[in-house]
Amino acid sequence: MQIAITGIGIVSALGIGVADNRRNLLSGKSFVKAPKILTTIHKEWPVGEVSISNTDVSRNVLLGGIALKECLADSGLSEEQIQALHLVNGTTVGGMDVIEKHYANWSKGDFSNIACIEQLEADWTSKSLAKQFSLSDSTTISTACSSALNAIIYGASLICTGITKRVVVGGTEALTKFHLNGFASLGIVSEKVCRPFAPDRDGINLGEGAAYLILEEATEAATRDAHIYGYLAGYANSCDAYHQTASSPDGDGAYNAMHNALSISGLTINDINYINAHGTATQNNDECELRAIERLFGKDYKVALESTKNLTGHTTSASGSIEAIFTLWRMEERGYNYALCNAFGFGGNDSSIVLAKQPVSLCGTSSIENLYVSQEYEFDDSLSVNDLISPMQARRMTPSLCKLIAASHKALKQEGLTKPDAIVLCTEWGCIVQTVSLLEQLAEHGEKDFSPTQFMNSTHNAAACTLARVFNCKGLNTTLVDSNDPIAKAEMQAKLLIRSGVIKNALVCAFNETDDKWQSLLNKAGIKSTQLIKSKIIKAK
Amino acid sequence: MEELKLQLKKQIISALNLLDMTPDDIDNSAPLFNEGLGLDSIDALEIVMILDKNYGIKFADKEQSKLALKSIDSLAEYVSAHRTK
Repeated sequence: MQIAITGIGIVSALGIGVADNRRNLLSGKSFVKAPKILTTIHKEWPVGEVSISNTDVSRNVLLGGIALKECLADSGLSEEQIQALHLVNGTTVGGMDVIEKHYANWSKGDFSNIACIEQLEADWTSKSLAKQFSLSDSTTISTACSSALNAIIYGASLICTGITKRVVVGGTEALTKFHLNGFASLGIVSEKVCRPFAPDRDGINLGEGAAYLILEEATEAATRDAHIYGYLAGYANSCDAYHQTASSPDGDGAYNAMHNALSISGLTINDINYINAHGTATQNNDECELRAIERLFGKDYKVALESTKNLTGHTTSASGSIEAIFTLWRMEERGYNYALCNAFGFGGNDSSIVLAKQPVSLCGTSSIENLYVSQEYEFDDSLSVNDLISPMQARRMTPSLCKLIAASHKALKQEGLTKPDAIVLCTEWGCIVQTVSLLEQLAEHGEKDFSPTQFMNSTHNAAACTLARVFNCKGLNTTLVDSNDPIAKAEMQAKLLIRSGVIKNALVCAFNETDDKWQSLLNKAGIKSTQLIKSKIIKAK
Repeated sequence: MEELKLQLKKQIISALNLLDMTPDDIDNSAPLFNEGLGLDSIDALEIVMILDKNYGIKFADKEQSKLALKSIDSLAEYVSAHRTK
């Protein structure tokens, strides 16, 4: 099986569309500057903004829509072929820009705009985009800054398992006050244009943007004589299972992601010409990423290494697909044959893909049809988490997350697994207790005193990465968002990964927290949300 | 000074959600981070935030806060010398 890339679309601070982005990438000029469109008081934190004014739709959908439109048009696919496409979309903030605009009014009892509360769900962004272009289906991946690369991995497994011949994958993320203040609370936002890998680097600049790619089974692409930008030659994700925000000193997650992506491709370190690094310009990320690269390539590695985050800012959930396109352009510009592109997220959620100029067979047609699916394990009062986690660990977890750990431990024990190959979780509102607490802070006190603990725990993948730490599972780790049937969505992802030969078994979870304040707001909009704590095991027979 | 130390301990226990811990469990001279109480870099950020909020303390750089946050003893000393509220 070979996977070709047959369409691209992109918006970032470098410009709107392929032509501007490509020209400005090659010129090497930074577009990071004081915020103009985002209504933040913090003008001291430069950002990479897309120069498009806001409309009445969520900015995340606005940016995503522009990139997706360009990608679909560029693909040369017929209307019918486009309508058959499944969108795999990475985003974490969802419609947070809309929510933070209205939340203060809701707190004061003015519910005139309450209907838009549904937009906070990251899946709403993807569904809106799919609807806008009449696509057949959508899946939302929400693993913070590695979301778009994990969307590429999901899309590839759809093709490898023969479910579809082509899929549109990528990510979108608009700047919000919520995550700008959140990243700043972690003390990692620079007041200058960021300096990836420089000894005096002092943090990130946030950016925004969206990018999508068409992945297409290669013979299919050849048959319709599509323009081929390159090939997806390998992919992998590994969880560091070390800390919620910091990378492990040896860069285990980053090392495993790059190593396993290379293994799938059948290529060796000597084949790789270029690495588009995650390179956020924090002391911690760049040091650990370099250590992982040295571990894999050796101390005297001769690979060209670059981070483009000083040009665009860190586009978080969209960075994987934006930088995958940048990597394709670098390969063309400099005649590289093979390249790696990295994206690492909170919780040590580390992904890497291999891109190639020539077709590379990356997975056989899998013969694993028979899967064992265990019963669902839920939390009950006979279960205790005290033996599983120390009070020092538990202090950062909500009661519902502790219950998920207990239910997952029971599932693993009953099904005879000590360490699963992968952890796949699907949620509806994510870690809503922490999110609501920060929204209250923003509404009552404005952009100050954001709690770093609450921010790092508010990202959707905090739960799955906590499970990885508790069970010391450094394998693939991913988080999806779905409002209809979260456990079915998580199951689907696990089955795809097993059938495409990436893993042999997985801990599969559905997780939804409830929060009184949030529930009372949802009630005003007529939306029901229930607590969901389910764990099950899926494995190859 | 002893009263300030007790106050700081209570604030830290509450802000960091140190379940089942009382001020007596925290040794005034023991290191707060790593091998001592076992706090990490995120906790350091939370403590810096409490100090700003409750005592109006702003650190000039990371080195300065690192020294002040060594233990409850060093923290109380720094707070009493630099507090603006």
